[in-house]
Amino acid sequence: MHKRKVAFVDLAKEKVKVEPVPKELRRRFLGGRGINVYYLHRFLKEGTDPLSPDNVLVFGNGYLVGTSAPESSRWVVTAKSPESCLVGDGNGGGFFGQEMRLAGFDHLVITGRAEGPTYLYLEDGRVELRDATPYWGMDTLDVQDAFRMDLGNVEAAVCGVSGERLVRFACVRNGMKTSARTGGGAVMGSKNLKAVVARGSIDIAIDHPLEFLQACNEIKDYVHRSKVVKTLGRFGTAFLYDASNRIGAIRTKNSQLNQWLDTLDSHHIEEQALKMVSCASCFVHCRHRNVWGGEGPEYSTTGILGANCGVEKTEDLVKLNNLCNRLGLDTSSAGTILAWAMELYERGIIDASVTEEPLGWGDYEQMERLLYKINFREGFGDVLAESTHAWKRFGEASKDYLIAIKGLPQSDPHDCRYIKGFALGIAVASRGADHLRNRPTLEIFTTLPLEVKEGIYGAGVTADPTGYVGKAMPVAWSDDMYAVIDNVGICKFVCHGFNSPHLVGYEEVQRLLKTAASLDMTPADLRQIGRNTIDMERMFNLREGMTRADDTLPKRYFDEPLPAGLAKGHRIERDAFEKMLDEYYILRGWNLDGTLKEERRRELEDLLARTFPAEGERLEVAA
Amino acid sequence: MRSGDLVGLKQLLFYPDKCTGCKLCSVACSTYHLGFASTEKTAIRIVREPTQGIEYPNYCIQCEEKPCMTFCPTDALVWDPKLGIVELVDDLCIGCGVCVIKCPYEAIAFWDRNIIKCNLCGGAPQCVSFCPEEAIVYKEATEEDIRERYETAESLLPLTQAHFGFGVGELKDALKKGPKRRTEPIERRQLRPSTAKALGRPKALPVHDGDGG
Repeated sequence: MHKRKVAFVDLAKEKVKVEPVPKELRRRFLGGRGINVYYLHRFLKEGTDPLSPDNVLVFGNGYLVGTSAPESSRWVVTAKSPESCLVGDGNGGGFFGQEMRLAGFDHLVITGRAEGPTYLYLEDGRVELRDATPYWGMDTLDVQDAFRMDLGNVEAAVCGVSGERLVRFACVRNGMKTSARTGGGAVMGSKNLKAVVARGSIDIAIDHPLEFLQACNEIKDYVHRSKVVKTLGRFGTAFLYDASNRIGAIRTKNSQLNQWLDTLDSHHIEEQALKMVSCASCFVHCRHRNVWGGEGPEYSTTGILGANCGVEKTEDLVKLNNLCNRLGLDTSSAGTILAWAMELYERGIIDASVTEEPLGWGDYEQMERLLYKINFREGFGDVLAESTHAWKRFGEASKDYLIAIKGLPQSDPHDCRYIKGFALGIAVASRGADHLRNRPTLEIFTTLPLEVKEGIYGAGVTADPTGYVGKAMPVAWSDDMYAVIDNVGICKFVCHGFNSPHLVGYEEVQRLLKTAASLDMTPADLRQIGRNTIDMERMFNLREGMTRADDTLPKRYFDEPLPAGLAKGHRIERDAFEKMLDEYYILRGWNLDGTLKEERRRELEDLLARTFPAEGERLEVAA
Repeated sequence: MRSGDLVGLKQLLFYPDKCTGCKLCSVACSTYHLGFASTEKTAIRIVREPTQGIEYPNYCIQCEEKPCMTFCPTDALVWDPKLGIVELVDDLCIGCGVCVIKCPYEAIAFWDRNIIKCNLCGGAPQCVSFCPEEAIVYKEATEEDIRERYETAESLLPLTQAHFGFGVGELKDALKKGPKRRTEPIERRQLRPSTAKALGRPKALPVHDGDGG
């Protein structure tokens, strides 16, 4: 496991340098998202345009990927995001991470722009730059079939035409799975990089195989006892729609409403499914293979591309999901931007001179047409492809109706005006409006005894999810736990606290690391790895111009109370929010203006300037 | 009915419709027998086409013909009547690869003059303990079960052969690489309990059987 490498690829100079991953980075971050953001910060100059050749694109594997560790499929694509212009990363499953690891690599740091269409081919510890001209212009599924027909049993991480055309929310795809958020596909396209193709053949050594297998088996059995895991295995994430809809927390029609139709609930989705399938080493199998030739839809897509856009028929949702995936578009961004445009049109803030046709809610043919237009950047699609930047075309007034934070559309279909901890979480998440960084999901389980919550998050949490007190603690705790899970490459669906009070936490990760790699890391050591990741991301964002003012919420969440259901009347009160934010900053060890303390900043800057003894030469910042 | 010597024995059966494609069986097998994680150097491999909705396990289905055994030049493949499976005796194998080519079901993996084929882990298959959906099951099988296993394997054979595509040309290339190299000390290989006892080695790790344990 220690023998996986990092490859530095300069697409302009067509040069590749392969080195061991420095032990110091393993100690501080372990792998995955954490090491990725380190490389991003180290090699990217401040103020770089994300779609310019100077952006740094990093592919990274979680430290346990490729093994029999539970749910260990996750890989990460990191860059400065074309949507938020801050730290961007997309976490994907499927089998690309495993194959890239078996090909010998844990990280790829890609700089420059290739002269013509290019793909990277990884095998046996080598990286080759190859001509991708025959593959340019293909969508995410056709191009993967083409690679397999030409090269054999390879796994490819690809962008679609959407990425080639620099659609700001173009995503990276592998198989039928997606590394969706923050526009990694567009960064690939901006570098003329169509794909990273891997063929594995280098074994991943396991130090104590029998003990490791025993740990994997016992953790698997423990996880399998969870009701949530069983539900995920049968209904996928679709069951979360049912739960959120019941309380009145499904973002509907651009978050103007908060409850939508049962036609999008898990039982209707189940009727459109053939079978449940897995990512690498996953025994939860939460993904539907649907009858329309695709996979999904996930909860996020159901909410944001479905309810949020006013889609009424299950079949329409599934087909739109399949189309977005095939084209290589992030469904959270696509759904949010389309719904934004729909509301703006309804209010007369934009008209047909911009939209080219009257916009309605939930019109399947229209949405299909618009997704294609976005993909090719044609007509109105060229405006929508700008994602949150489209306000420049829509006008200042449009900003009031945009459901995004830090320029990234909100990915959780759950309306956060009810559960205040969720609201704080998306406001401070380093990617922008994102629930996967730190959603304190246990807040939604109102029957959970307070002692159980305290046992997980610490003393000071409170029972009432709709109150503002004691919410910073669960968010800060989740920050660290989820970062560690991302760094070891384990899927969040079995992460302690993400969907359930049990599942894989610091103790389980400790045991897996000890038996697989003879690493001695205590839960406290692991939590520190989480903190290192959060602080490195924070420092990057601050460098790129983020301030406390960006740790905020969409105007609608502050000013408009939820209209219906159990959650009726709830909104976020600004001064209560600011108090929560203060509390959160203190817990994170930051100043009240949201910046890192001087000593911590210097510590991280030292790390960024480090020469690593194993390599023996100083790594230069890209000129 | 091609099942004479297997009736009454526990069998490793498979059900492609239930397979979720997770490859835990593959990785658990390679980890257990060889001490590393691999999806190719393993006795049970997944045939998977990412965009075509195809995923199923491929492994030794304990066939009646046993050409692997018949053609092995050093008698390194021996029949274990208690388990009903052909087992590799590592010390005798010279890595010629003939069994790989002769196997009608592409069930034997070959790399650098090493092979691995299923030996049912001595009676407690590791893969089964990891499969989440009972797509592979280890139980006493009826004649019906055994026939169904043959039929399923044969109906999938075109896909299986296309996936592994191991031809004589590739074998010749592999053989050119020189004498057989061990990739790891023999201690890490799974030994049958009786053999382990005879050699004074620690017993195999108890694993969960396929009955939901």
